[in-house]
Amino acid sequence: MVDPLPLVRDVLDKQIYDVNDAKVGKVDGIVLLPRKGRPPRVLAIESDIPCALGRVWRPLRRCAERLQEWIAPEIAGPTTIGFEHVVKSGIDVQVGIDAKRTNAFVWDAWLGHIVALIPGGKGRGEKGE
Amino acid sequence: MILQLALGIVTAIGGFIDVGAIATTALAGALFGYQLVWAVLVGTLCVILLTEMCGRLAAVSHHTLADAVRERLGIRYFAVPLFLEVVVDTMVLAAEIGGVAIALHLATGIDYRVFVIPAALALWSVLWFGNFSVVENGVAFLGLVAVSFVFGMWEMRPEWGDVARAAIPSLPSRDAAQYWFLAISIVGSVLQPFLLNFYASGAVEEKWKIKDLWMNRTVAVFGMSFGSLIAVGILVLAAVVIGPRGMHVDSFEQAVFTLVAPFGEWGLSLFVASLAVACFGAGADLSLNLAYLVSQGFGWNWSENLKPHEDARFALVYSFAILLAAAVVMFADPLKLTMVTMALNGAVAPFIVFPLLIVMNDKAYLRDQTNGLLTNVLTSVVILIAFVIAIVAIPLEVLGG
Repeated sequence: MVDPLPLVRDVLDKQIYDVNDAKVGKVDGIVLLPRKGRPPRVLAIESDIPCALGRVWRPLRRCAERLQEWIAPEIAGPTTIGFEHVVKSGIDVQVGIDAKRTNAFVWDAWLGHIVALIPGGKGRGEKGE
Repeated sequence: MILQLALGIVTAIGGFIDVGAIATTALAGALFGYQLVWAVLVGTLCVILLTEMCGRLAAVSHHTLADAVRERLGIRYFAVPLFLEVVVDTMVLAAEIGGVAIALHLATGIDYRVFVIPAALALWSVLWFGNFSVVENGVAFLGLVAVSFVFGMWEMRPEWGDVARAAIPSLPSRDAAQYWFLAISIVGSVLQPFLLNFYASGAVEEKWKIKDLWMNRTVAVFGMSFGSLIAVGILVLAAVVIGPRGMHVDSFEQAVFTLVAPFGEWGLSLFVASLAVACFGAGADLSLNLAYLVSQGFGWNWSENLKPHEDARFALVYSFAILLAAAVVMFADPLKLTMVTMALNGAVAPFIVFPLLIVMNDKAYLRDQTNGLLTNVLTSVVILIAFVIAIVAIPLEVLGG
């Protein structure tokens, strides 16, 4: 018998860390697969600002999605990680994959290109040296 | 170890004194003499208690207050303090940038609006090019110039017995609405909600561990107490110097006399330096806290020690916050903005302190370092005070602000 996992208490809203201990995002949503006559199956966890805002007030989800599509339609969309990759949960959620292989960092990378054009935005050595 | 401790205490003093503390205590001293010393002490006791808890949370769990509130209470609750703090912190940031600009106006006589954009640009540059140590320790050390208020108080030889008696709360004999408005503004200027998450974020940035808990306690108690002493110094100086002359502190020009009386021609320079550095330091802390709050709330990569392109969203949040705050202060009187925002600080506090109490009793975060009974009782009293302030802040703002 496998121990039950309280999804809302130990997974939802928790910080996700990947195998390299990089911050992937918060668990903004949990994707369930409804099954006839059986309990739903947990498919994936989602990190997505529109999803998080939609949980606060439903219309905010559409507003945030439109804003993302207007800014950069090519990268707009949630980061979805299959639930089979969740290794540990508690006050944080640890996943057993390298988040660089997902779209978790696309916004940081996209904005990072713009930031790098500003003096001091990029460069060698430690910051503040 | 002693150096590290001294650095922590100096930093805490720097975080304590800002445009709000200077404006509210100077106004209170000018209008009500020593009578509102108790409000500084109440705010100080509250902030010592709360910052110690935030530091303990960070040292034990490596989570900040924003992290823990989102994770423990969910996005629906977290959205409320996030929204309130973003609005209030941006307004306070505007007041701090205004404070730097006013200081430069006092030094040169040129309209303060001329200095708003350069001050905002200087603030942004420190955050963009500097790291956490530069922001915290560099600015905090310069902020020690504010100790001149304590020396000034000593020099003016106030009635120490009367000052000590004012540590006990008393009812006003006149202008009750203004008295209570100033009382909550002083508590709000000391118990600034941004300090809590900023303190915890700083502890995570500096990689505090359980072995650093003693330092956390010492910094919270002594740093905040020394900061409080400076605030009392400003209040007492205003009571001794400004009140008896029948002057009102309706602009920072009048507040200058607090240091001109004890130090003569050096007084203006000391006041300008104290105001400029205190506001600049608090502005840096506020900008960073806005970025910490949003980044931690959404789980983004964050650290002031990373180059901006490595945590672009974090860097852009503080950049936009500074831009927006500079735009606000171009159209609002900095002193009025300060008084309004200090009362609002008090109004926001319960939404942040209440979840802190829940988190500090959660063994998943604090393990064997959860709150004891006494700390829980004291925190409940702080929450009660914060709720009362939240209810009366807006009516008092209208009647006595």
